[in-house]
Amino acid sequence: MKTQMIYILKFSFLYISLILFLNSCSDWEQPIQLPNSGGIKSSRVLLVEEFTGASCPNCPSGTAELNGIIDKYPDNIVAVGIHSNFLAAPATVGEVDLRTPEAQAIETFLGAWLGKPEAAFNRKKFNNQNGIRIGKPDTWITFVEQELKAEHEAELKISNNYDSTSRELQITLTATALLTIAKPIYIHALITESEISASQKNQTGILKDYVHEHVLRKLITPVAGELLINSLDVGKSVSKTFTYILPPQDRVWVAEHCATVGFISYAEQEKYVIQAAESKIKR
Amino acid sequence: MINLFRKLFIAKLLALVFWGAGAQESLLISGGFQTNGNLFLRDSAIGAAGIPQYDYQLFGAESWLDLNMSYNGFNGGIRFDLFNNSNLLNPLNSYTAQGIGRWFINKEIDRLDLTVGYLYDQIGSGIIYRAYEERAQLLDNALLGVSAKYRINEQWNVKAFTGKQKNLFTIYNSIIKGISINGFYQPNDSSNWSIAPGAGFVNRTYGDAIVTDLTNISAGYLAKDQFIPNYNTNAFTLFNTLNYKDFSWYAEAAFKPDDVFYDPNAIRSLPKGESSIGKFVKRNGSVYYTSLGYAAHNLGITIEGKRTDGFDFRAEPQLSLNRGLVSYIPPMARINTYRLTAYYFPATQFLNEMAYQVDLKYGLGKHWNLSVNFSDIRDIDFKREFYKEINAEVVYKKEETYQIILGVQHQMIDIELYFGKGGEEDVKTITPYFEFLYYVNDKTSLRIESQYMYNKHDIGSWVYGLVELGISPHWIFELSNMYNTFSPKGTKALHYPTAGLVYNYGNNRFGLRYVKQIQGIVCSGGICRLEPAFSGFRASITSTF
Repeated sequence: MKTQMIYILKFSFLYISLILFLNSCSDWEQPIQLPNSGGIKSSRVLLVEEFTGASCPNCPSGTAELNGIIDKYPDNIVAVGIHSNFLAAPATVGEVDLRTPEAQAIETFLGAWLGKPEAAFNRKKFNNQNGIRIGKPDTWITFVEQELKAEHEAELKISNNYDSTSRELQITLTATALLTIAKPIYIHALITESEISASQKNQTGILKDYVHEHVLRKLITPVAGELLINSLDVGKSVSKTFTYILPPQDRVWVAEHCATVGFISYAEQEKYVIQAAESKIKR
Repeated sequence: MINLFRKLFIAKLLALVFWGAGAQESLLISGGFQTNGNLFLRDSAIGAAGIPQYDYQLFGAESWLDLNMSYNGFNGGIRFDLFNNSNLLNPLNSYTAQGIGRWFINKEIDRLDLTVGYLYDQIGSGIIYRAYEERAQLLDNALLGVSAKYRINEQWNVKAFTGKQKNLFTIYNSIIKGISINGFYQPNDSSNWSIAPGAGFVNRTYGDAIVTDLTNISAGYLAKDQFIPNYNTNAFTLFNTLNYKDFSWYAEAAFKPDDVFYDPNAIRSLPKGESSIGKFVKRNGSVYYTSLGYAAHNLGITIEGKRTDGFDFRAEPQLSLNRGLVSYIPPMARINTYRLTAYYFPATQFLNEMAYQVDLKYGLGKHWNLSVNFSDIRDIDFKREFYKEINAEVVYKKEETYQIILGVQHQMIDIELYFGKGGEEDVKTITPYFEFLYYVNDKTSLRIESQYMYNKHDIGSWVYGLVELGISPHWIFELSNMYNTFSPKGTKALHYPTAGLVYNYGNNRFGLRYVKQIQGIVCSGGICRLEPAFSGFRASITSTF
C-alpha cells in the first residue's frame, strides 16, 4: 500500500510539473503583431449581399461591420441590402416597407441560412461554412480578403442613361475576359436605393430616422441571371443593355438616391460571382 | 536424385509450416450496415417546403457500411459513408458526398497498444477531449492520426495521441495532440473503497490561415476589443472516481487558459460611439463537474453539479453549433423519451452555465418503481434561470402480463437562449403522460402511449397518442398522431400522423414509416441542432454480420 501511494504521489508531482511546463508553451510563441493599416491591393470588385431587415435587432451591427469593410475597400465592394421577409417588417407600423419579392427570391435561391444578419460574398460557399450566407459579422472581413486575393477573371463596366422626364433607365453592362472562361456566363442587373429614412430595431429598442443604404429595390434579370455568353476568350468583350422605367417617386424611388448594380456569374448550380460593378443613376 | 528429393521435402515442409500457421490464425470479419432513405412530400402548411429536398430533389439518403477485421494480432476496420441529397448536415440544405469515412489499424505489442487512422477516444468524461460519432446529427469528430497506449501495470496506463480532426471527408486546419494517465488503486481485494484517478493534457495548434484570419479580425476591432491570437492553446484536466461501499463519486476539474473563441454576448465597440453584441474574445475557461451516486436496497440516487465558464473548444474558432468540437461537456438535464416531454431540451452552454440535477429511483416490492428527477440550469452567477425541470414517474409491472407507466413533467425553458427566439417569453409546460404495455400472449404485445402538453406560449398545447402492436419475432406496427389543441399565435390546428412498420429477421431490421412531424430540435449528449418539419416517408435498414 505504501508503495502504491508513493507511486501515486510521484506521478501527481510529475503530472503537475509537466502541466506547468507545457502550459508555459504559450509563452514560447513569438507574439503576433496586428497589422496597423493597409489592405489587399486588388482590382476585383466583390458583390456583398447583406441579409438584413428593419425588425432585426442585431442587424445594425452587421451593417456597421459592412460599412467598416467598405471604408477599408471603397473601390472593391458593391453592397446590396437584401430585405427578405424574415425580421424585415417595418419597425414602426405605417412606415415604408423595404421587403420585396425579389429579395425573398434571392434568399430562396442562395439556400441555407440560420438567421440575420448574414452576408454572401460573391455567392461563394467557403470551406467549413454551412451555406453561402455567413453570420458572425466580425468574420466578414476574412471572407472579403480571401476573395480579393482570388484570381481576377473578368472586368465589368456599367453605364447608365437616365431620362428624368420619362424615368426610363438604360443600363449597359460590358464584360471583358482577363482569362479564357470556358463555361457559360450569366449576367445580372438590379437597382438599389440609399438614404431611405425608416425606423430600425436594435438591441435596446427602435432607432427612429435610421438611414438604410443600398436597399435592393428591383431585380431586373431573373434571380439566376440571364445567359450572356457560353464562353469568353481572353481579351474579348460582350455587352448587354437593359431598360427599365422607374416607378413614380413616393417615399422611395428617389432617382438621385438610386444606383444600378450589375454582376456576372457562373450558372445557377455554381452561382459564383466573377465581378460586380455599380453606378449611380443620376450623377 | 537425392537433391531433388531433398528440395521436394523442404518445399513440403515449408508448405506444411505456412499452411499450418494460416490454419491457426484465420481472418475474422464482422461489421454492420445502416441506411436511411427519405422521400420528401411537400407540405407548406407545416413548413415542409422551401428546402431543396421538398422543392425538387424529392429523395435523400444516408448509408454507412462498417467492416472490422482481425488477423494475427492485427485489428483493422474501414467504413464507407454515403450521403445523397441528405439533410443531416444542414437541415435547410442538401449534402451529397461519398467515400471512406473511417479506417484504422491497431496492433498490441506486449504492453503497447498502437492505432493509426481515424481514432475515437476521450479523456476523463470528455471535457477537454472527446472524439466520437453521432449519426443522427452527422457528428463525427474522429482524429485522423496516431495513438499509443502503454499499460504500465494492471492498474495504470498512459496514452498519447496526435492528429487532425475529421471534417466529413476532409480535415480541419489544426493539429490536436494529447496525453493522459489513468489509474486504479484499491488497498486489497477485500477493501470497501477504491479510487480511479486520472489526468489529461491537450494542445491544439492552429494552421497559418486560421491565425491570419484571427489577426485580420482583431485588427478590424477598436483597440479596446483587440486580442493577440495564439497558435497554441492548452487544456488540462484532473479527475477521479471514488467508490466507497454503495457510494460512487466522480469529480473533474478542467482548465483552458488563453483561448480565442466567439462570444455571442460580448459587447463590441464600433466607431462613432456605436456598439454591437458578439465578438471574438481571448480568455480563460474552466469546467467543474461532479456526480455523486448511491445504489443499494432498491434505492438509487444520483446528484450532479456542473459549472462552465468560457469553455468553447473547437478545431477552428469560426465554427459553430456542433461543428469541430474538441470537447464534450456533460448535459445536465434528463433525457426524456416521450415525444412531448422531449420536445424542449436545454442544449449544453459552453460559455456560461451553472447547473445541478438530482435523480432518484426507488423499487418498491416486486412490482413498483418510483422515480423523481429535478434539474436546474442557470447562468454562472446562478441568478438568471435558463431551464428547470421536475419529472415524477411511477411504473407498475406485472411480470409477463402488463406494465403501466404514469408520470408528469413540468418544464421552464428560456427559448430565447435555447431556440434563438428573441423577445419571446419563457415557456412553461406541464405534461402528464401514460404508457400501457400489455403482453397479449407469448408472441404478441400491445403498447399504448399518450401525453398532453399544457403550454400557453410558443408552439402552444399538444396532445399525442401512439398505438404499437408487436408480433414476435418479426413484426412491429405503429400508429400515432399529434394534434395542436391550442396555438397562442393563432395558427391553424393540424394533425401530425405517423404510421409505420418494422420487420426483424435475424440480424436484419427493416423499417418503413409515413411521417408528418413539427419543427423541433434533435439533441444527443447535450448537443442539439434544428430539426425542420418533416413530411414524407422514411425507410431504414440495419444489419449486423
